[in-house]
Amino acid sequence: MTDSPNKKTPISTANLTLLVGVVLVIVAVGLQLMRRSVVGVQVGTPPPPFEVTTYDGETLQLSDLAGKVVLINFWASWCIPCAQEAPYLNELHTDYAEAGLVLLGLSHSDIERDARAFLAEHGATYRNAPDTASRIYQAYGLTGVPESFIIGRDGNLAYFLPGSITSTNYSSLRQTIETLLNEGA
Amino acid sequence: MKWLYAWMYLCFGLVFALTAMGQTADPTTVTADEVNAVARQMYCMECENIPLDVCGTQACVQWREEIRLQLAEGKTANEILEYFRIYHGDRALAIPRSPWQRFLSLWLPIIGIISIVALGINLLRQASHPTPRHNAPIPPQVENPVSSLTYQQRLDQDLNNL
Repeated sequence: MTDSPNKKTPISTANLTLLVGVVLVIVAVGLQLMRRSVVGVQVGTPPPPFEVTTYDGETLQLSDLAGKVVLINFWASWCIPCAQEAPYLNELHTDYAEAGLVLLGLSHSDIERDARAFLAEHGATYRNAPDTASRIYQAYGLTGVPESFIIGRDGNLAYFLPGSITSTNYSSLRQTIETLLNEGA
Repeated sequence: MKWLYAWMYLCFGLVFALTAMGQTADPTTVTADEVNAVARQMYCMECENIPLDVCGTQACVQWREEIRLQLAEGKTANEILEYFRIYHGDRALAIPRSPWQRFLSLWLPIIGIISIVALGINLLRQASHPTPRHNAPIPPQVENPVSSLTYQQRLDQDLNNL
């Protein structure tokens, strides 16, 4: 019995090694992309805990604010929409602080000097802190600033606002806050 | 008169000394090239894959200003990079600071692409030109009588044929 001379040879060891290497690289890239896409928070679930030191020197943990409605606002001094929404945030703080709303501003990718100047310029009276090394930014899966999160009295994320507070969404945001403040009050 | 000259020299000396001292803390004496030398080792946090020295966003402008101020304070490039790494995270630097890790991160994708191309070419070659089996009979080599002649012999042969 003779084999046909045109029979293809099996894949060589070198080619097999290369093939396995390529597949491994593709798998590694895929896993990395999957890992990046699952980072973040979902409404109805507890948000990642964190600890910050405010610009006033106060150390604050998210768990310290348990039982309160917490509005976390990510901002930056170089961000124009952040400046535009600053009056709305000040108004929310003035109107609802006594009812149990805690506003916490977290500055992202900011130079401390610029961040302090921004707060002074906009007269922010609520607590603000730098998000050192962008840890909270990454844990919450942000893709830019401004973005706001509202945590309910039960400790779960109740509302997520991707983008800035504007005249268009401000009234609905107020209603959401009022609803959350009335829950379990 | 000598006292007057002495006082004048003293005053000039003081002015020069004060000017020189002032320059060390003056951010305007730090050139854009010095700032960019540090900035090009960093990346814009908001716009992916854009080095800080060529980024035009307000965030990058503020960061470069911070670099300028820190250089004016006498900090070294490494100290400034370390400050940004601690305050803004590893993403601010983007490229690994270790030369070996930098080599890996920059050249590994290129090596990977070359490997893929080499693998593809090799597989295509194998598919289009299957190699003969080892036990296949080797055809006997027949010597070409014409090609085995030297040039001189072939020339002589051709001349004789005329």
